[in-house]
Amino acid sequence: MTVELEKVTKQYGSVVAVDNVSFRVNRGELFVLLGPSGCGKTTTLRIVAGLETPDLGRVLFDGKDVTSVPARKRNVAMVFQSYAVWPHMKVYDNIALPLQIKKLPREEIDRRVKSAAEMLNIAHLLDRYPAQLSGGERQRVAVARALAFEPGVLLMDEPLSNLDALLRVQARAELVKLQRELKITTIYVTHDQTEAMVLADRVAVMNKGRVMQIGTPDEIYNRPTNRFVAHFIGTPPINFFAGTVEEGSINAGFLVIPFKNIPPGLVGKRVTIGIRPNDISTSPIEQGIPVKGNLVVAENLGSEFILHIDVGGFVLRALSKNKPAEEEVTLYVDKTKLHIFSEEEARINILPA
Amino acid sequence: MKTLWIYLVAVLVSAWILTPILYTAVASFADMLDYYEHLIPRKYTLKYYEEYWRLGVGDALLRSIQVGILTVALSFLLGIPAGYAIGRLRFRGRDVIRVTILFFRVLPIVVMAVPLAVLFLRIGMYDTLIGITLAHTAIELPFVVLITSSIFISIPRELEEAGTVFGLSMIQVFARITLPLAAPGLAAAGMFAFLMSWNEVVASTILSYLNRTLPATVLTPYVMGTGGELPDPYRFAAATIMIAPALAFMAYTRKYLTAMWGAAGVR
Repeated sequence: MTVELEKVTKQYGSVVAVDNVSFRVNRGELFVLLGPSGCGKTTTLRIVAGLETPDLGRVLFDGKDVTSVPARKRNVAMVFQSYAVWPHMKVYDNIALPLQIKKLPREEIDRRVKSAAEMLNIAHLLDRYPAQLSGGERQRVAVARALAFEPGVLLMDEPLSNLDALLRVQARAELVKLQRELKITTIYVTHDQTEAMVLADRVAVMNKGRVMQIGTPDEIYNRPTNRFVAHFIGTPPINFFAGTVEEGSINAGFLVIPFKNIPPGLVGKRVTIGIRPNDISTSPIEQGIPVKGNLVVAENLGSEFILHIDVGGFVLRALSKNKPAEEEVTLYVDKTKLHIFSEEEARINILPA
Repeated sequence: MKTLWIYLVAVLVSAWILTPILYTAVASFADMLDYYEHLIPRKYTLKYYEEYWRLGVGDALLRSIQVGILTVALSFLLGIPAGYAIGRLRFRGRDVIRVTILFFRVLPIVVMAVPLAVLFLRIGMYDTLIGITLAHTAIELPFVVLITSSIFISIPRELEEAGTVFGLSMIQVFARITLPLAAPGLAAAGMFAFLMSWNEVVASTILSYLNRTLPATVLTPYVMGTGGELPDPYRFAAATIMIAPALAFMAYTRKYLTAMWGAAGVR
């Protein structure tokens, strides 16, 4: 099934939770809504589910307007952040109840419950009550319930956020595998960019109720269309510094970068320049512009270091395999990996000379 | 040493509560002369109970049980939907309704009961089971509404939303998810409501004359005695008649309540 949101707006009092949001989720796609808490991603998901009604705009399933169709008739399944596994029913009944409501034949229900339980390795837990399960097991029950339902769209609201770090990585890998196998159209809400990068076919990055950018993980990482996305995606976070556009170059004080095809209207404007820490090298690279600086701190991540380097009143973060021996360091800024943003925080597409 | 102290305090507190009750029960079987001679009676008799039985305590007990069950049924029938609405749904005037419900608890029962008695006399409902049941329901309804609303609030909303998403209608969500989860709380509330009706004496006394509930029946001899001062053992017997069924009922329902979902319980 395809899902489309058309200019959807939802307001609570004076707070605009969802602001003119539009996107289209293709059949079989895993679409991630990513953003900081309070950005409206969960409300957007609940609007798709039918748990909230938008004030403006339309929701379309397979091109049909379902905006006024109640949740229970939308044929969607949802995995809640708290899992919402019913505590008074055994695992089997938790998975079976939605199918009983669908009035499926008994054998079909039994088959679906068992195959979903197989898929999620909880077949041995079908006879237990949720209170007797661990958090990870309960999460699996919630996913099994959703899969057995065989929904048109699968909605997931931060399904991994209540698991501990190790389990989260494992569950994430299993979710990707399942989704790719089953090819269920899925909308997945998270605030965790790694999760989004690993899982998503496409990502919609949201902030303050608005969609900031929609694209593949690759696109939002390498070509963020605005400053917010550039800042929100990537760890350690991108370096931003101010610069002024001149004829044929951008001057950032400690660094002057030559650019071709600068539109004449841009000359004299203030811009923000962004460069990711892993696009700065401590050894010479082909497209690198050398910058001299002093090492302030080196944070040890185990496999690599985050170097904080003072380049004349401004501290750049760079990723490096080794900790430099001397305090004085020459950095090489990869000029093909620079992101230039206007004062309105939109991306400016110009190429380095 | 520390546990010893805890035990000591526990024993003292229990004794403080239980001794009067126990003494009341024991003294209610005491022979009249013996009772006034010895603190702990030596000769026992069933005389007072026999006399109460002749006064119709058996019928009154049955009536009390009937009124209690009917009151719980009626006040739940009306109170649960109201409690659910106040606890769960967002609607205009919800807070006003909540306060108004509390307000009805402020009125003394006597104030309500006397006009009610007049009204019941006129429409032929005086001295009937239904009449007392209606009065008890009116008294308990605010309690039931407020208690059930807080029970429903304590059930995570996502459990109901999951039901909605997975195809359950509003009624199915209530019947298959909300109600079973609320059951232990509702059972406790029901038990409490039953005991409230069981112990209610003012309205019952005013609204009935011959067909009285148990407390109303024994109240008269207990408090004043008919035609003069009544000897203590009669009063103690009356008190015991009141307490014993309530204690038995509590003991039984307690076992039932803890067994409901087992130790696993509702999260």
